Amino acid sequence: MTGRIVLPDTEPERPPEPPPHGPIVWAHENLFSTVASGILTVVVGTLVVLFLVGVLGFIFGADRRWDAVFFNTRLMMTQAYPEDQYFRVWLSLGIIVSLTGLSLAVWQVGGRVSLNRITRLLSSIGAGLIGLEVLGPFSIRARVIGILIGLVLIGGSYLVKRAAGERAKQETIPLMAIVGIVPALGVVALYVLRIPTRLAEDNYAEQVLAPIANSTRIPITVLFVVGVVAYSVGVLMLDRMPNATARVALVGLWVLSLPAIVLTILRDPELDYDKILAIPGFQEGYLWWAVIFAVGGSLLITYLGSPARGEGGRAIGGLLVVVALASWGVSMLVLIRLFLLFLATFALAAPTFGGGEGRARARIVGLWVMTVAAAAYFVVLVSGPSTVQVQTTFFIGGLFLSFILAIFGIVLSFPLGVLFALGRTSSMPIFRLMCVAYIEVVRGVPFITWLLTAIIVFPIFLPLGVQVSNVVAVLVMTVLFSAAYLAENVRGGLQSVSGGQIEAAKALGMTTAQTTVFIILPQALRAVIPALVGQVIGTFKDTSLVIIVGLFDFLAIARNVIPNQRVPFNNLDALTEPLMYAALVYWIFTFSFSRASQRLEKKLGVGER
Amino acid sequence: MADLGQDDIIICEGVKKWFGDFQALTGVTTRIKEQEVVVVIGPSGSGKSTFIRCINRLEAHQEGTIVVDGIELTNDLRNIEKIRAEVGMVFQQFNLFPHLTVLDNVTLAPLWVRKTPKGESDAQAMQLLERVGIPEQAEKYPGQLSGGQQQRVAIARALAMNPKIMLFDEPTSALDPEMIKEVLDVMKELAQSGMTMIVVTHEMGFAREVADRVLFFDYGTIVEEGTPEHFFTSPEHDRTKLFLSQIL
Ligand SMILES: Nc1ncnc2c1ncn2[C@@H]1O[C@H](COP(=O)(O)OP(=O)(O)O)[C@@H](O)[C@H]1O
Ligand SMILES: [Mg+2]
Repeated sequence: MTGRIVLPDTEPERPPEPPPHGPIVWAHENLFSTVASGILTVVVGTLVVLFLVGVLGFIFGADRRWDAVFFNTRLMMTQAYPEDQYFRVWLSLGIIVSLTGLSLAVWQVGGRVSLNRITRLLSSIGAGLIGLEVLGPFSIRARVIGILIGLVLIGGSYLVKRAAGERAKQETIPLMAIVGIVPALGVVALYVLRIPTRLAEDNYAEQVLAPIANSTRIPITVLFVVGVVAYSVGVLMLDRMPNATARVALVGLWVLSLPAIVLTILRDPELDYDKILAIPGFQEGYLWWAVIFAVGGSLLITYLGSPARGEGGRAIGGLLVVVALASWGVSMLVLIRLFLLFLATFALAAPTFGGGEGRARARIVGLWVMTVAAAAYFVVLVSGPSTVQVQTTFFIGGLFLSFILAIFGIVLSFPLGVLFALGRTSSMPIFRLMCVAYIEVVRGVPFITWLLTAIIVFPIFLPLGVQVSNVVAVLVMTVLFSAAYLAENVRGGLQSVSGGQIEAAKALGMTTAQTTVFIILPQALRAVIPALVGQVIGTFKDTSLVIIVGLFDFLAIARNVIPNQRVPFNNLDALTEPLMYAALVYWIFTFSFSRASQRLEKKLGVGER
Repeated sequence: MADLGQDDIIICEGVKKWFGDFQALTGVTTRIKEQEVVVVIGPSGSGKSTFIRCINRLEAHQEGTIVVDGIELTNDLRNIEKIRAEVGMVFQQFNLFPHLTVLDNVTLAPLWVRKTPKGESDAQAMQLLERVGIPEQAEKYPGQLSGGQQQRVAIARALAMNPKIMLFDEPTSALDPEMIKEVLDVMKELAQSGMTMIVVTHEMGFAREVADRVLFFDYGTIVEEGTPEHFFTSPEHDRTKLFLSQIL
C-alpha cells in the first residue's frame, strides 16, 4: 500500500512524477501502514501526550517560582561583579561577540539552506507551538494567542511554498541570515515583552508588569549589532585576503584577546612600576628584559634564518629548547622563562619559515617582537593585584565564568594539544617520551584532583611575586587538562593520514615542518572533527566542576546561591527552577555547537573520504 | 657517448638497498644523460620502484653512490631537500592532496619551497593545467576528478617546481583503460619537450615510441639494457625473453 499514482504511459520522454508528499500520505505510509502499527501509533501517541501534559504542567504550573531565576539574572551571569564596573563585562562580551562573528564568516560555517527546508522548519515550529498551547496549563487568552501565532506560521509557510512552487527547492537563503533572526527576536522581546516584576526588592506581594532586562537591553542591543557587523566584516574580509591569512590572523586574535579579557579588562590590575622599570636582574626589570630579548632574539632569528646556516641552525634551536626547559628549575623571573621558551620555538621554526627571501625573514622577526611584547604585557598584568573591588575572593562567576573557562579551555588548548600530538608521533625519542608522559599523567588523574592541585601548587610554582588568582590558576589547569585529551584525539587523526600524502609532499621538496603544517594537520584535524566536537562540548560541561575550588560558575549559583537567598529576595528552597533554567542554557549552547560542527563537517566533506 | 660524465645528470654506481634482511637492490649501475627518456620494465617485486625512489631519496640506499645533478645523495637533509625540489615524481596512486583545490595542489610547493610570489605561481599553475589539458578544473577538489584527470594534475603539480628530472612510478597502472591514453599523451609531449624522464611502466607501446633506452630489472638489478628496437626485436637474456613473452 503506497499511495503511488500510476501515470498513463503517454509521454515517455518526461521523467515520472515523484509521488505526492502530503501529510496524509505520509501518515498513512509511516504511522498506519498496518493494523498493528496503527494500534502502536495510537497507544504511544497517547502516552506521549500524557507525558507532555505532565511536563508542561510542571514547568508552567502556578506554583513554579520562575521569578527566582528572572530576578537573579545578573547574579547568574556574573555573580557579584560590581555594578559600576559592568562596562568591563560588556566590553569583554563585545570582543568575544565580534571575534565569534568574524570566525563564523571566515570559516564559512553558514552556507545556504533551501527555501523548502525553511518553510518546513517554520511549520514545525508552528505545530509545536500549537501543541504546547493545547497541552500546557495556560490561560484561555494565552492559548488563543499562541494557537493563532502557530496557525499563522503554518499557513504562512504553506503560502510561501505554494507561491515559490518548484523554485522552493532551488531557491537558497544564507543560513546565517536565519540564525541571526533568533537573537534578533530576542532583542526585540527585550523591548516588547513584559513580565511581572516586584515593586520593591523586599516586597514579594506587589507586582507590576515591566519590560524584561530593563537595565541591560541597550548593551545587549549593541552587542547584537556588533555581532552582525563583525560577521559582515568577516564576509568582506574573505573577498579581500587569502583565506589562510584571515584564519591565522583570527586565531591569533582569539589567543591574545582571551588573556586580555581575564587579566586586563576584568581585573584592571595595579602596576608596580618600580619593578617594571628596575635595572634588569633575575627578579625585576620587566621592561628592559623585554627589550633585551626583542633585540637579541631578532638578531638570532635573522642569523638562523639565513639560507647559509643549514643544519647548524636547527642544532642551536634544539639547544635553546633544553635551556628553556632547564630555566624552570632555576629561580628567575617567570617572564625570562617564557621568553626562553618562545625563543626556542622561533629558533626551531626560523630555518623553515624564515629562510631564503628577505621578506619571510622580516615577517618572522616582526612576529617575534610582537610575541615578546604580548608576553611581557600579560605577565606584568597578571602580577599586579586586581583593583576591581568584589565582596568575594574571586572577581567573577556565573555564566560568564563558565564561558570564559570553556572558551579558554578550547581555544588555548587547541594549539597546545596539537603540539603534544605531534610530539607524541615525532621521530625524536626525547620529545616522544616527554609528550607521552605528560598526556598519560594528565589523563590518568581526575579533573577535580587537578583543579585542587592547581589552587595549591600554582602559587608554589610561581614564587617570584607573581600572584595568580584562583580564576587564573583554574584557567591554566583547564587548558593543560583539555590539551592532553585533545592530543589523543588529534593523534588518531595524524595516524589516519596516508603515507602516500607524506611521500608526495617530500617528493616536492617540502620540509618536515611544511609537510606537517600544510598536508598532515589539515587532513588529520578534519578526520577527527566529531571527536574534537565531543571534547569541546565536554570541556564546556566540565566547567561546572570548578565549584570544588570555590569558584561559583553558572551551575553553582543556580544550585547553591539562589536557593539560600533570604534577604531581600526570599528565594529559599527555590531549587527546581534555577536548575531547570541552567539545564536549558547548557543545552542551548551545546546543541547549537553540535549542529554548527555538523555543518562544518559536511562542508569539509569528512564523510567523502 | 662521451663517458666523461659531463652531461650525465644521474649517476648510479653499485647501488644496494636492504629492507631488513631482504635485499631489494643488488647493485645497480647506470648513467642517465640530460634529456634522456629511460623506461624501466621488469616483473613485480624486482626493485623498479625502490630504484627510482632511491633517486629522490624517498628510500635511502645503503651501499654504492648516487649522484643527481652533481650532488651526491647522503644523509645531509639540505642536499636531500634541494634534490627533491629538482626531481619531480608521479605516483601510481596519484597522491594528490585531497583537502586542497587542484590549483592549490599545484601552487603549494612553488609557494613554500621556491618562495614564488602568489600571483606568479598561480599564473604558472594555470599554464601547466592548460598544458595537461584541464584548466577548467582548477577550482575543483581532487575527489571530484576522474583518475586520468587526477594523474594529469599530479604531473602538473610535479612540473610546477620546474624540475630537471621527472620520475614516474607506474603512472597508468591505477587507471581505467579509457583514461590511460590521456595520461600517456601528456607524458609523450613532456618527453618531446626535452625533459629527462625515468618511467616505470608496463605500457610497451609507450616504451617503443618514446624511450631512448629501456632498462630491464630482475632480482634487484639491471639484467639487460638497450634501445627499444634492440629490446623488442632481439633481446639477449633468457629472463628478458621470458618476461617479454609473458607481457606482449
Ligand atoms: N618498505 C618496504 N619494506 C620491506 N620490503 C619492501 C619495502 N618496499 C619494497 N619492499 C620489497 O622490495 C622488493 C622490491 O619492491 P619494489 O621496488 O616495490 O618492486 P617493483 O616496483 O619492481 O614491483 C619487493 O619484494 C618488496 O616486497
Ligand atoms: Mg612498483
